[in-house]
Amino acid sequence: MSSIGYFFKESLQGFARNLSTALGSIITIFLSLLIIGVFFVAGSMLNNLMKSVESEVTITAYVADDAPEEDIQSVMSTISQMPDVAEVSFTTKEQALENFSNSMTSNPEIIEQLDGTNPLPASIDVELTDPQAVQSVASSIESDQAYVKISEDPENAGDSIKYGQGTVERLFQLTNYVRYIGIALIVLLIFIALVFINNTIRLAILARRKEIAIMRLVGASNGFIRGPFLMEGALHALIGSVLAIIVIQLLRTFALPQLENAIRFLDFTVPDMTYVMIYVGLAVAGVIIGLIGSAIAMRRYLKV
Amino acid sequence: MAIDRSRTAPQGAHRAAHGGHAAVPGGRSRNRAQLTNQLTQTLPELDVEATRAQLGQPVITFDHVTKVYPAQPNKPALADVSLQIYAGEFLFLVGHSGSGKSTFIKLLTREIKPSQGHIYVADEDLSSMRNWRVPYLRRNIGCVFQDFKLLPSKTVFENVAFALEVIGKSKHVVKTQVPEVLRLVGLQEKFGKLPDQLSGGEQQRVSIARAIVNRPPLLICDEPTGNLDPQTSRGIMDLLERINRTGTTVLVATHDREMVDNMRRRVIALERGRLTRDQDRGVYGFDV
Repeated sequence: MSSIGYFFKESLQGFARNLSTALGSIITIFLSLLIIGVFFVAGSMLNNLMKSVESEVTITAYVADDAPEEDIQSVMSTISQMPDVAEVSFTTKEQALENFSNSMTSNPEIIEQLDGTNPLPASIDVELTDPQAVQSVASSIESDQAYVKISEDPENAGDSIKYGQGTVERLFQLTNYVRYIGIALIVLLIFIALVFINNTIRLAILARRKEIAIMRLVGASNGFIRGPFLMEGALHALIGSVLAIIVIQLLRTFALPQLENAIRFLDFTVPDMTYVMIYVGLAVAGVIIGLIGSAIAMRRYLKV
Repeated sequence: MAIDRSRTAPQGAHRAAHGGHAAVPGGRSRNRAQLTNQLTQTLPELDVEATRAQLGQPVITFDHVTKVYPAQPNKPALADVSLQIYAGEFLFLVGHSGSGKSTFIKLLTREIKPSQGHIYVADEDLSSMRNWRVPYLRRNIGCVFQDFKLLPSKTVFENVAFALEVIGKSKHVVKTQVPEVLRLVGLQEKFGKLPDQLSGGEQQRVSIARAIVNRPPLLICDEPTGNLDPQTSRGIMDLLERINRTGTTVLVATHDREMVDNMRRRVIALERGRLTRDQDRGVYGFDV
Protein backbone atom coordinates (compact mmCIF):
# COMPACT_ATOMS: atom_id res chain seq x y z
CA MET A 1 0.00 0.00 0.00
CA SER A 2 1.35 3.34 -1.02
CA SER A 3 -0.40 5.27 1.73
CA ILE A 4 1.54 3.39 4.44
CA GLY A 5 4.71 4.69 2.83
CA TYR A 6 3.20 8.16 2.74
CA PHE A 7 2.23 7.96 6.44
CA PHE A 8 5.73 6.85 7.31
CA LYS A 9 7.34 9.68 5.37
CA GLU A 10 5.00 12.24 6.90
CA SER A 11 5.51 10.96 10.44
CA LEU A 12 9.28 11.11 10.02
CA GLN A 13 8.94 14.70 8.82
CA GLY A 14 6.79 15.47 11.84
CA PHE A 15 9.50 13.97 14.00
CA ALA A 16 12.14 16.23 12.51
CA ARG A 17 9.88 19.27 12.74
CA ASN A 18 9.22 19.00 16.46
CA LEU A 19 12.40 17.36 17.62
CA SER A 20 12.26 18.65 21.19
CA THR A 21 8.67 17.66 21.89
CA ALA A 22 9.17 14.37 20.09
CA LEU A 23 12.18 13.67 22.31
CA GLY A 24 10.07 14.66 25.31
CA SER A 25 7.39 12.14 24.54
CA ILE A 26 9.92 9.45 23.66
CA ILE A 27 11.73 9.97 26.96
CA THR A 28 8.54 9.88 29.03
CA ILE A 29 7.43 6.71 27.31
CA PHE A 30 10.89 5.26 27.75
CA LEU A 31 10.95 6.02 31.48
CA SER A 32 7.40 4.83 32.03
CA LEU A 33 7.98 1.56 30.24
CA LEU A 34 11.36 1.13 31.91
CA ILE A 35 9.78 1.38 35.35
CA ILE A 36 6.88 -0.82 34.29
CA GLY A 37 9.34 -3.38 32.94
CA VAL A 38 11.51 -3.29 36.05
CA PHE A 39 8.40 -3.85 38.14
CA PHE A 40 7.44 -6.85 36.08
CA VAL A 41 10.92 -8.34 36.28
CA ALA A 42 11.02 -7.74 40.04
CA GLY A 43 7.56 -9.23 40.32
CA SER A 44 8.56 -12.42 38.60
CA MET A 45 11.72 -12.61 40.71
CA LEU A 46 9.60 -12.30 43.83
CA ASN A 47 7.27 -14.96 42.51
CA ASN A 48 10.15 -17.33 41.95
CA LEU A 49 11.52 -16.52 45.37
CA MET A 50 8.20 -17.35 46.96
CA LYS A 51 8.05 -20.63 45.15
CA SER A 52 11.48 -21.60 46.46
CA VAL A 53 10.59 -20.52 49.99
CA GLU A 54 7.43 -22.58 49.84
CA SER A 55 9.30 -25.63 48.64
CA GLU A 56 11.74 -25.29 51.51
CA VAL A 57 9.01 -25.35 54.11
CA THR A 58 9.75 -28.09 56.67
CA ILE A 59 8.22 -28.84 60.03
CA THR A 60 10.56 -28.98 62.98
CA ALA A 61 9.10 -30.69 66.05
CA TYR A 62 11.40 -30.17 69.03
CA VAL A 63 11.86 -32.99 71.44
CA ALA A 64 12.58 -32.84 75.18
CA ASP A 65 16.18 -33.64 76.17
CA ASP A 66 15.12 -36.58 78.32
CA ALA A 67 12.79 -38.25 75.82
CA PRO A 68 13.42 -42.00 75.46
CA GLU A 69 14.82 -43.22 72.17
CA GLU A 70 12.00 -45.72 71.46
CA ASP A 71 9.27 -43.11 71.97
CA ILE A 72 10.98 -40.85 69.47
CA GLN A 73 11.23 -43.74 67.00
CA SER A 74 7.52 -44.54 67.30
CA VAL A 75 6.48 -40.88 66.87
CA MET A 76 8.66 -40.66 63.77
CA SER A 77 7.00 -43.70 62.25
CA THR A 78 3.53 -42.31 63.05
CA ILE A 79 4.46 -39.04 61.35
CA SER A 80 5.82 -40.82 58.28
CA GLN A 81 2.41 -42.50 57.92
CA MET A 82 0.66 -39.12 57.70
CA PRO A 83 -0.54 -37.87 54.28
CA ASP A 84 1.63 -35.31 52.40
CA VAL A 85 4.74 -36.26 54.37
CA ALA A 86 7.77 -36.98 52.23
CA GLU A 87 10.52 -37.71 54.70
CA VAL A 88 11.07 -37.76 58.42
CA SER A 89 14.52 -37.40 59.96
CA PHE A 90 15.99 -36.83 63.40
CA THR A 91 18.43 -34.11 64.42
CA THR A 92 20.28 -34.74 67.64
CA LYS A 93 21.33 -31.98 70.02
CA GLU A 94 24.92 -32.22 68.80
CA GLN A 95 23.90 -31.97 65.18
CA ALA A 96 21.70 -28.99 65.97
CA LEU A 97 24.63 -27.18 67.59
CA GLU A 98 26.85 -28.00 64.66
CA ASN A 99 24.29 -26.71 62.16
CA PHE A 100 23.92 -23.58 64.23
CA SER A 101 27.62 -22.92 64.45
CA ASN A 102 27.97 -23.55 60.75
CA SER A 103 25.39 -20.89 59.96
CA MET A 104 27.11 -18.49 62.37
CA THR A 105 30.63 -18.65 60.95
CA SER A 106 30.56 -14.90 60.44
CA ASN A 107 30.19 -14.21 64.15
CA PRO A 108 31.86 -17.07 66.03
CA GLU A 109 31.74 -15.11 69.31
CA ILE A 110 28.13 -16.27 69.77
CA ILE A 111 29.32 -19.87 69.91
CA GLU A 112 32.13 -18.92 72.27
CA GLN A 113 29.63 -17.30 74.60
CA LEU A 114 27.85 -20.65 74.94
CA ASP A 115 30.83 -21.85 76.97
CA GLY A 116 30.54 -25.45 75.82
CA THR A 117 26.92 -25.86 76.96
CA ASN A 118 24.30 -26.88 74.41
CA PRO A 119 20.99 -25.09 74.76
CA LEU A 120 19.62 -26.43 71.48
CA PRO A 121 16.98 -29.19 71.61
CA ALA A 122 16.91 -32.30 69.45
CA SER A 123 14.19 -32.31 66.82
CA ILE A 124 12.17 -34.42 64.39
CA ASP A 125 12.34 -32.82 60.92
CA VAL A 126 9.47 -33.42 58.54
CA GLU A 127 9.71 -32.68 54.81
CA LEU A 128 6.49 -32.38 52.90
CA THR A 129 5.36 -33.34 49.40
CA ASP A 130 2.94 -30.42 49.27
CA PRO A 131 4.01 -27.20 50.99
CA GLN A 132 0.37 -26.05 51.14
CA ALA A 133 -0.36 -28.91 53.56
CA VAL A 134 2.08 -27.61 56.18
CA GLN A 135 -0.64 -26.37 58.52
CA SER A 136 -2.67 -29.59 58.57
CA VAL A 137 0.37 -31.83 59.06
CA ALA A 138 1.62 -29.60 61.88
CA SER A 139 -1.72 -29.79 63.68
CA SER A 140 -1.93 -33.57 63.34
CA ILE A 141 1.54 -33.88 64.88
CA GLU A 142 0.45 -31.54 67.65
CA SER A 143 -2.63 -33.67 68.43
CA ASP A 144 -0.63 -36.89 68.45
CA GLN A 145 -0.54 -37.97 72.13
CA ALA A 146 2.76 -39.82 71.73
CA TYR A 147 4.44 -36.65 70.54
CA VAL A 148 2.86 -34.51 73.25
CA LYS A 149 4.53 -36.77 75.80
CA ILE A 150 8.03 -36.32 74.40
CA SER A 151 7.65 -32.62 73.47
CA GLU A 152 9.61 -30.00 75.40
CA ASP A 153 6.49 -28.79 77.19
CA PRO A 154 3.65 -31.36 77.33
CA GLU A 155 1.23 -28.65 78.54
CA ASN A 156 1.75 -26.71 75.33
CA ALA A 157 2.96 -29.05 72.61
CA GLY A 158 2.08 -26.58 69.83
CA ASP A 159 4.92 -24.27 70.88
CA SER A 160 7.45 -27.01 70.17
CA ILE A 161 6.41 -27.30 66.53
CA LYS A 162 7.95 -24.75 64.18
CA TYR A 163 7.17 -24.53 60.51
CA GLY A 164 7.93 -20.91 59.69
CA GLN A 165 4.44 -19.73 60.57
CA GLY A 166 3.75 -16.37 59.01
CA THR A 167 6.86 -16.24 56.79
CA VAL A 168 4.95 -17.26 53.71
CA GLU A 169 2.03 -15.06 54.63
CA ARG A 170 4.32 -12.12 55.19
CA LEU A 171 5.92 -12.68 51.83
CA PHE A 172 2.49 -12.74 50.25
CA GLN A 173 1.67 -9.46 51.94
CA LEU A 174 4.90 -7.92 50.71
CA THR A 175 4.20 -8.92 47.13
CA ASN A 176 0.71 -7.49 47.44
CA TYR A 177 2.09 -4.14 48.62
CA VAL A 178 4.62 -4.16 45.83
CA ARG A 179 1.83 -4.97 43.38
CA TYR A 180 -0.43 -2.10 44.56
CA ILE A 181 2.36 0.44 44.55
CA GLY A 182 3.41 -0.86 41.15
CA ILE A 183 -0.07 -0.56 39.70
CA ALA A 184 -0.51 2.97 41.04
CA LEU A 185 2.86 4.00 39.68
CA ILE A 186 2.18 2.39 36.31
CA VAL A 187 -1.19 4.13 36.00
CA LEU A 188 0.42 7.46 36.82
CA LEU A 189 3.25 6.92 34.37
CA ILE A 190 0.90 5.85 31.60
CA PHE A 191 -1.15 8.97 32.23
CA ILE A 192 1.95 11.17 31.99
CA ALA A 193 3.02 9.39 28.82
CA LEU A 194 -0.42 9.94 27.30
CA VAL A 195 -0.27 13.64 28.13
CA PHE A 196 3.13 13.97 26.49
CA ILE A 197 2.13 12.09 23.35
CA ASN A 198 -1.06 14.11 23.20
CA ASN A 199 0.97 17.30 23.31
CA THR A 200 3.44 16.18 20.68
CA ILE A 201 0.72 15.15 18.29
CA ARG A 202 -1.15 18.39 18.91
CA LEU A 203 1.91 20.34 17.83
CA ALA A 204 2.28 18.11 14.79
CA ILE A 205 -1.34 18.78 13.88
CA LEU A 206 -0.90 22.53 14.34
CA ALA A 207 2.21 22.50 12.19
CA ARG A 208 0.26 20.89 9.38
CA ARG A 209 -3.14 22.51 9.76
CA LYS A 210 -2.95 24.17 6.34
CA GLU A 211 -2.29 20.88 4.66
CA ILE A 212 -5.05 19.26 6.66
CA ALA A 213 -7.51 21.96 5.59
CA ILE A 214 -6.64 21.30 1.95
CA MET A 215 -6.83 17.55 2.39
CA ARG A 216 -10.32 17.92 3.80
CA LEU A 217 -11.23 20.27 0.99
CA VAL A 218 -10.27 17.90 -1.77
CA GLY A 219 -11.87 14.94 -0.05
CA ALA A 220 -9.03 12.96 1.50
CA SER A 221 -10.59 10.25 3.63
CA ASN A 222 -10.48 10.66 7.39
CA GLY A 223 -8.21 7.65 7.70
CA PHE A 224 -5.77 9.17 5.27
CA ILE A 225 -5.66 12.43 7.23
CA ARG A 226 -5.28 10.66 10.57
CA GLY A 227 -2.78 8.05 9.40
CA PRO A 228 0.42 10.10 9.69
CA PHE A 229 -0.43 11.28 13.21
CA LEU A 230 -1.30 7.82 14.44
CA MET A 231 1.91 6.60 12.85
CA GLU A 232 3.89 9.38 14.50
CA GLY A 233 2.49 8.62 17.96
CA ALA A 234 3.08 4.91 17.52
CA LEU A 235 6.61 5.55 16.26
CA HIS A 236 7.54 7.66 19.29
CA ALA A 237 6.11 5.03 21.59
CA LEU A 238 7.93 2.25 19.79
CA ILE A 239 11.27 4.07 20.04
CA GLY A 240 10.61 4.66 23.74
CA SER A 241 9.79 1.03 24.37
CA VAL A 242 12.83 -0.22 22.46
CA LEU A 243 15.02 2.04 24.62
CA ALA A 244 13.34 0.67 27.74
CA ILE A 245 13.91 -2.91 26.58
CA ILE A 246 17.57 -2.19 25.85
CA VAL A 247 18.09 -0.66 29.30
CA ILE A 248 16.38 -3.57 31.05
CA GLN A 249 18.53 -5.99 29.11
CA LEU A 250 21.63 -4.00 30.10
CA LEU A 251 20.54 -4.04 33.73
CA ARG A 252 20.05 -7.77 33.46
CA THR A 253 23.49 -8.43 32.04
CA PHE A 254 25.49 -5.98 34.15
CA ALA A 255 23.62 -4.99 37.30
CA LEU A 256 21.93 -8.28 38.15
CA PRO A 257 25.17 -10.27 38.71
CA GLN A 258 26.31 -7.54 41.13
CA LEU A 259 23.06 -7.86 43.04
CA GLU A 260 23.33 -11.62 43.13
CA ASN A 261 26.86 -11.30 44.51
CA ALA A 262 25.74 -8.90 47.19
CA ILE A 263 22.73 -10.92 48.33
CA ARG A 264 23.90 -14.51 48.10
CA PHE A 265 21.09 -16.33 49.83
CA LEU A 266 18.34 -15.12 47.44
CA ASP A 267 17.82 -16.52 43.99
CA PHE A 268 17.17 -13.85 41.38
CA THR A 269 17.07 -16.03 38.30
CA VAL A 270 14.05 -15.57 36.07
CA PRO A 271 13.60 -17.77 33.02
CA ASP A 272 14.61 -16.26 29.65
CA MET A 273 11.10 -16.82 28.41
CA THR A 274 9.74 -14.45 31.07
CA TYR A 275 12.12 -11.74 29.89
CA VAL A 276 11.06 -12.26 26.29
CA MET A 277 7.42 -12.01 27.27
CA ILE A 278 8.03 -8.85 29.28
CA TYR A 279 9.87 -7.28 26.32
CA VAL A 280 7.10 -8.15 23.88
CA GLY A 281 4.54 -6.86 26.37
CA LEU A 282 6.44 -3.56 26.74
CA ALA A 283 6.64 -3.03 22.99
CA VAL A 284 2.93 -3.78 22.53
CA ALA A 285 1.96 -1.60 25.52
CA GLY A 286 4.12 1.22 24.15
CA VAL A 287 2.50 1.13 20.74
CA ILE A 288 -0.96 1.03 22.29
CA ILE A 289 -0.12 4.03 24.52
CA GLY A 290 1.16 5.88 21.46
CA LEU A 291 -1.93 5.14 19.42
CA ILE A 292 -4.31 6.11 22.23
CA GLY A 293 -2.38 9.31 22.96
CA SER A 294 -2.48 10.43 19.35
CA ALA A 295 -6.11 9.37 18.98
CA ILE A 296 -7.03 11.60 21.92
CA ALA A 297 -5.09 14.49 20.39
CA MET A 298 -6.84 14.01 17.06
CA ARG A 299 -10.26 13.89 18.64
CA ARG A 300 -9.58 17.22 20.27
CA TYR A 301 -7.63 19.10 17.65
CA LEU A 302 -8.39 17.47 14.32
CA LYS A 303 -11.92 17.88 13.11
CA VAL A 304 -12.38 15.72 10.07
CA MET B 1 -36.73 12.34 -4.58
CA ALA B 2 -39.98 13.68 -3.19
CA ILE B 3 -39.32 17.37 -3.35
CA ASP B 4 -41.28 20.29 -4.55
CA ARG B 5 -39.39 21.28 -7.68
CA SER B 6 -41.07 24.62 -8.20
CA ARG B 7 -38.81 27.66 -8.07
CA THR B 8 -39.23 30.26 -5.43
CA ALA B 9 -38.53 33.26 -7.60
CA PRO B 10 -41.01 34.78 -10.03
CA GLN B 11 -38.67 34.18 -12.98
CA GLY B 12 -38.68 30.52 -12.25
CA ALA B 13 -41.15 29.74 -14.95
CA HIS B 14 -38.43 30.29 -17.57
CA ARG B 15 -36.15 27.75 -16.18
CA ALA B 16 -37.82 24.69 -17.44
CA ALA B 17 -35.64 22.70 -19.78
CA HIS B 18 -32.40 23.67 -18.17
CA GLY B 19 -29.67 21.16 -17.75
CA GLY B 20 -30.39 19.31 -20.91
CA HIS B 21 -29.64 22.32 -23.09
CA ALA B 22 -27.40 24.34 -20.90
CA ALA B 23 -24.75 24.77 -23.56
CA VAL B 24 -27.08 26.55 -25.98
CA PRO B 25 -27.68 30.02 -24.61
CA GLY B 26 -30.87 31.61 -25.82
CA GLY B 27 -32.08 28.43 -27.44
CA ARG B 28 -33.57 27.22 -24.26
CA SER B 29 -36.96 28.87 -24.13
CA ARG B 30 -37.54 28.31 -27.85
CA ASN B 31 -36.70 24.66 -27.43
CA ARG B 32 -38.99 24.34 -24.53
CA ALA B 33 -41.83 26.05 -26.36
CA GLN B 34 -41.44 23.59 -29.21
CA LEU B 35 -41.33 20.70 -26.85
CA THR B 36 -44.37 21.81 -24.95
CA ASN B 37 -46.16 22.27 -28.27
CA GLN B 38 -45.36 18.77 -29.38
CA LEU B 39 -46.37 17.37 -26.07
CA THR B 40 -49.66 19.20 -25.92
CA GLN B 41 -50.45 18.04 -29.46
CA THR B 42 -49.80 14.38 -28.78
CA LEU B 43 -50.76 14.18 -25.13
CA PRO B 44 -53.08 17.05 -24.38
CA GLU B 45 -53.66 16.27 -20.73
CA LEU B 46 -50.02 15.72 -19.76
CA ASP B 47 -48.83 17.58 -16.70
CA VAL B 48 -46.34 20.06 -18.02
CA GLU B 49 -44.71 20.53 -14.60
CA ALA B 50 -43.93 16.84 -14.41
CA THR B 51 -42.40 16.80 -17.90
CA ARG B 52 -40.26 19.76 -17.00
CA ALA B 53 -38.97 17.97 -13.95
CA GLN B 54 -37.86 15.03 -16.06
CA LEU B 55 -36.04 17.17 -18.60
CA GLY B 56 -33.55 18.67 -16.21
CA GLN B 57 -32.45 16.64 -13.23
CA PRO B 58 -31.30 19.07 -10.56
CA VAL B 59 -27.85 18.18 -9.20
CA ILE B 60 -28.38 20.34 -6.13
CA THR B 61 -31.66 20.92 -4.35
CA PHE B 62 -32.18 23.13 -1.32
CA ASP B 63 -35.48 22.23 0.28
CA HIS B 64 -36.60 24.88 2.79
CA VAL B 65 -33.14 25.10 4.29
CA THR B 66 -32.63 27.11 7.44
CA LYS B 67 -29.34 27.46 9.25
CA VAL B 68 -29.15 29.01 12.69
CA TYR B 69 -25.78 29.35 14.39
CA PRO B 70 -25.80 28.80 18.14
CA ALA B 71 -24.11 32.17 18.66
CA GLN B 72 -27.04 34.04 17.09
CA PRO B 73 -30.19 32.04 17.78
CA ASN B 74 -32.53 34.84 16.69
CA LYS B 75 -30.84 35.68 13.44
CA PRO B 76 -30.71 32.75 11.02
CA ALA B 77 -27.78 32.78 8.60
CA LEU B 78 -30.04 31.18 6.03
CA ALA B 79 -33.82 31.27 6.34
CA ASP B 80 -36.09 28.93 4.43
CA VAL B 81 -34.06 28.81 1.23
CA SER B 82 -35.39 26.56 -1.52
CA LEU B 83 -33.78 26.33 -4.93
CA GLN B 84 -32.48 23.91 -7.48
CA ILE B 85 -29.29 23.91 -9.46
CA TYR B 86 -29.13 21.92 -12.67
CA ALA B 87 -26.25 20.08 -14.23
CA GLY B 88 -24.10 22.26 -16.43
CA GLU B 89 -25.32 25.59 -15.08
CA PHE B 90 -23.15 28.61 -14.43
CA LEU B 91 -24.57 30.70 -11.64
CA PHE B 92 -23.66 33.57 -9.42
CA LEU B 93 -24.46 33.81 -5.75
CA VAL B 94 -24.57 37.46 -4.78
CA GLY B 95 -25.26 39.33 -1.59
CA HIS B 96 -23.67 41.64 0.93
CA SER B 97 -21.31 40.42 3.59
CA GLY B 98 -23.27 38.47 6.15
CA SER B 99 -26.06 37.66 3.75
CA GLY B 100 -25.41 33.95 4.01
CA LYS B 101 -23.21 33.21 0.98
CA SER B 102 -20.52 31.48 2.96
CA THR B 103 -23.10 29.52 4.93
CA PHE B 104 -24.63 28.43 1.63
CA ILE B 105 -21.27 27.11 0.43
CA LYS B 106 -20.39 25.46 3.72
CA LEU B 107 -23.73 23.68 3.64
CA LEU B 108 -22.99 22.38 0.16
CA THR B 109 -19.62 20.91 1.15
CA ARG B 110 -21.19 19.61 4.36
CA GLU B 111 -18.86 21.51 6.62
CA ILE B 112 -22.03 22.34 8.52
CA LYS B 113 -25.46 20.76 8.61
CA PRO B 114 -28.73 22.65 8.09
CA SER B 115 -30.81 23.37 11.20
CA GLN B 116 -33.95 22.64 9.24
CA GLY B 117 -34.74 21.43 5.76
CA HIS B 118 -32.81 19.17 3.43
CA ILE B 119 -30.05 19.58 0.92
CA TYR B 120 -29.67 17.05 -1.84
CA VAL B 121 -26.53 16.73 -3.91
CA ALA B 122 -26.87 14.15 -6.68
CA ASP B 123 -29.88 12.63 -4.93
CA GLU B 124 -28.08 12.21 -1.63
CA ASP B 125 -29.46 13.94 1.46
CA LEU B 126 -26.58 15.78 3.12
CA SER B 127 -28.35 16.12 6.46
CA SER B 128 -28.51 12.36 6.92
CA MET B 129 -25.17 11.62 5.25
CA ARG B 130 -22.79 9.57 7.38
CA ASN B 131 -19.59 11.34 8.38
CA TRP B 132 -17.33 8.85 6.67
CA ARG B 133 -19.01 9.54 3.33
CA VAL B 134 -18.34 13.27 3.46
CA PRO B 135 -14.87 13.00 1.88
CA TYR B 136 -16.42 11.21 -1.09
CA LEU B 137 -18.94 14.04 -1.46
CA ARG B 138 -16.06 16.54 -1.45
CA ARG B 139 -14.25 14.65 -4.17
CA ASN B 140 -17.17 15.60 -6.38
CA ILE B 141 -17.02 19.27 -5.47
CA GLY B 142 -14.08 21.45 -6.45
CA CYS B 143 -13.54 24.50 -4.26
CA VAL B 144 -11.74 27.75 -5.03
CA PHE B 145 -11.26 30.49 -2.45
CA GLN B 146 -10.35 34.12 -2.34
CA ASP B 147 -7.12 33.37 -0.49
CA PHE B 148 -6.08 30.53 -2.84
CA LYS B 149 -5.12 28.17 0.01
CA LEU B 150 -1.95 26.94 -1.66
CA LEU B 151 0.84 25.20 0.23
CA PRO B 152 3.81 27.60 0.19
CA SER B 153 6.44 24.88 0.44
CA LYS B 154 5.20 22.95 -2.57
CA THR B 155 5.66 23.85 -6.22
CA VAL B 156 2.77 24.53 -8.58
CA PHE B 157 2.92 20.97 -9.83
CA GLU B 158 3.10 19.52 -6.32
CA ASN B 159 0.22 21.65 -5.11
CA VAL B 160 -2.03 20.30 -7.82
CA ALA B 161 -0.66 16.77 -7.50
CA PHE B 162 -1.31 16.89 -3.74
CA ALA B 163 -5.06 16.94 -4.37
CA LEU B 164 -4.78 13.70 -6.31
CA GLU B 165 -2.26 12.02 -4.02
CA VAL B 166 -4.29 12.45 -0.87
CA ILE B 167 -7.33 10.80 -2.40
CA GLY B 168 -5.19 7.83 -3.31
CA LYS B 169 -4.74 8.31 -7.05
CA SER B 170 -1.87 6.43 -8.63
CA LYS B 171 1.39 8.07 -9.72
CA HIS B 172 0.40 7.44 -13.31
CA VAL B 173 -2.84 9.40 -12.95
CA VAL B 174 -0.92 12.23 -11.27
CA LYS B 175 1.66 12.34 -14.05
CA THR B 176 -0.93 12.56 -16.80
CA GLN B 177 -3.67 14.68 -15.27
CA VAL B 178 -1.66 17.38 -13.52
CA PRO B 179 0.17 18.66 -16.65
CA GLU B 180 -3.05 18.50 -18.59
CA VAL B 181 -5.00 20.60 -16.13
CA LEU B 182 -2.12 23.06 -15.71
CA ARG B 183 -2.11 23.55 -19.47
CA LEU B 184 -5.87 24.11 -19.34
CA VAL B 185 -5.46 26.96 -16.85
CA GLY B 186 -2.54 28.38 -18.82
CA LEU B 187 0.33 27.61 -16.47
CA GLN B 188 2.29 25.19 -18.62
CA GLU B 189 5.46 27.29 -18.12
CA LYS B 190 5.29 27.43 -14.33
CA PHE B 191 5.29 23.80 -13.14
CA GLY B 192 8.31 24.17 -10.88
CA LYS B 193 7.55 27.61 -9.45
CA LEU B 194 6.60 28.13 -5.82
CA PRO B 195 3.34 30.00 -5.09
CA ASP B 196 5.34 33.00 -3.78
CA GLN B 197 6.94 33.40 -7.19
CA LEU B 198 3.57 33.75 -8.95
CA SER B 199 1.22 36.69 -9.38
CA GLY B 200 -2.17 36.65 -7.67
CA GLY B 201 -3.97 35.69 -10.84
CA GLU B 202 -1.54 32.84 -11.47
CA GLN B 203 -1.95 31.61 -7.91
CA GLN B 204 -5.70 31.58 -8.37
CA ARG B 205 -5.22 29.57 -11.56
CA VAL B 206 -3.21 27.02 -9.59
CA SER B 207 -5.99 26.81 -7.07
CA ILE B 208 -8.56 26.36 -9.86
CA ALA B 209 -6.37 23.67 -11.40
CA ARG B 210 -6.26 21.91 -8.06
CA ALA B 211 -10.03 22.16 -7.72
CA ILE B 212 -10.74 20.61 -11.12
CA VAL B 213 -7.86 18.15 -11.48
CA ASN B 214 -10.07 15.35 -10.18
CA ARG B 215 -12.77 16.41 -12.68
CA PRO B 216 -15.56 17.12 -10.21
CA PRO B 217 -19.01 17.73 -11.70
CA LEU B 218 -19.43 20.79 -9.47
CA LEU B 219 -17.03 23.70 -8.99
CA ILE B 220 -17.69 26.19 -6.18
CA CYS B 221 -15.79 29.47 -6.13
CA ASP B 222 -16.00 31.69 -3.06
CA GLU B 223 -15.00 35.22 -4.14
CA PRO B 224 -12.47 33.89 -6.66
CA THR B 225 -11.59 37.38 -7.87
CA GLY B 226 -11.80 39.14 -4.52
CA ASN B 227 -8.05 39.75 -4.36
CA LEU B 228 -7.46 40.40 -8.05
CA ASP B 229 -7.52 43.45 -10.28
CA PRO B 230 -10.34 43.75 -12.85
CA GLN B 231 -8.29 42.57 -15.82
CA THR B 232 -6.93 39.50 -14.07
CA SER B 233 -10.44 38.83 -12.78
CA ARG B 234 -11.70 38.83 -16.33
CA GLY B 235 -9.14 36.18 -17.21
CA ILE B 236 -10.20 34.04 -14.26
CA MET B 237 -13.88 34.33 -15.21
CA ASP B 238 -13.03 33.34 -18.81
CA LEU B 239 -11.32 30.29 -17.42
CA LEU B 240 -14.33 29.43 -15.27
CA GLU B 241 -16.56 29.80 -18.30
CA ARG B 242 -14.31 27.48 -20.29
CA ILE B 243 -14.52 24.93 -17.47
CA ASN B 244 -18.30 25.34 -17.47
CA ARG B 245 -18.40 24.58 -21.19
CA THR B 246 -16.85 21.17 -20.53
CA GLY B 247 -20.03 20.34 -18.60
CA THR B 248 -18.97 21.27 -15.09
CA THR B 249 -21.59 23.08 -13.02
CA VAL B 250 -20.01 26.29 -11.72
CA LEU B 251 -21.24 28.26 -8.73
CA VAL B 252 -19.52 31.59 -8.08
CA ALA B 253 -20.15 33.60 -4.93
CA THR B 254 -19.08 37.15 -5.61
CA HIS B 255 -19.24 40.84 -4.79
CA ASP B 256 -18.04 41.78 -8.25
CA ARG B 257 -20.91 43.77 -9.74
CA GLU B 258 -19.23 44.35 -13.07
CA MET B 259 -18.54 40.67 -13.53
CA VAL B 260 -22.10 39.60 -12.85
CA ASP B 261 -23.56 42.33 -15.02
CA ASN B 262 -21.23 41.52 -17.93
CA MET B 263 -21.72 37.79 -17.92
CA ARG B 264 -25.47 37.70 -17.68
CA ARG B 265 -25.83 34.30 -16.11
CA ARG B 266 -28.27 32.98 -13.57
CA VAL B 267 -28.07 35.06 -10.41
CA ILE B 268 -29.17 33.99 -6.96
CA ALA B 269 -29.37 36.88 -4.51
CA LEU B 270 -29.32 36.45 -0.77
CA GLU B 271 -30.26 39.16 1.66
CA ARG B 272 -30.05 38.64 5.41
CA GLY B 273 -30.30 34.91 4.89
CA ARG B 274 -33.30 35.02 2.59
CA LEU B 275 -33.41 34.17 -1.06
CA THR B 276 -34.63 37.42 -2.59
CA ARG B 277 -34.01 36.86 -6.27
CA ASP B 278 -33.36 33.94 -8.63
CA GLN B 279 -32.96 35.30 -12.10
CA ASP B 280 -31.88 33.91 -15.44
CA ARG B 281 -29.31 36.10 -17.18
CA GLY B 282 -29.51 38.40 -14.19
CA VAL B 283 -27.54 41.36 -12.94
CA TYR B 284 -25.85 42.08 -9.62
CA GLY B 285 -28.78 44.27 -8.65
CA PHE B 286 -27.56 45.61 -5.31
CA ASP B 287 -26.66 49.21 -4.69
CA VAL B 288 -23.03 49.41 -3.82
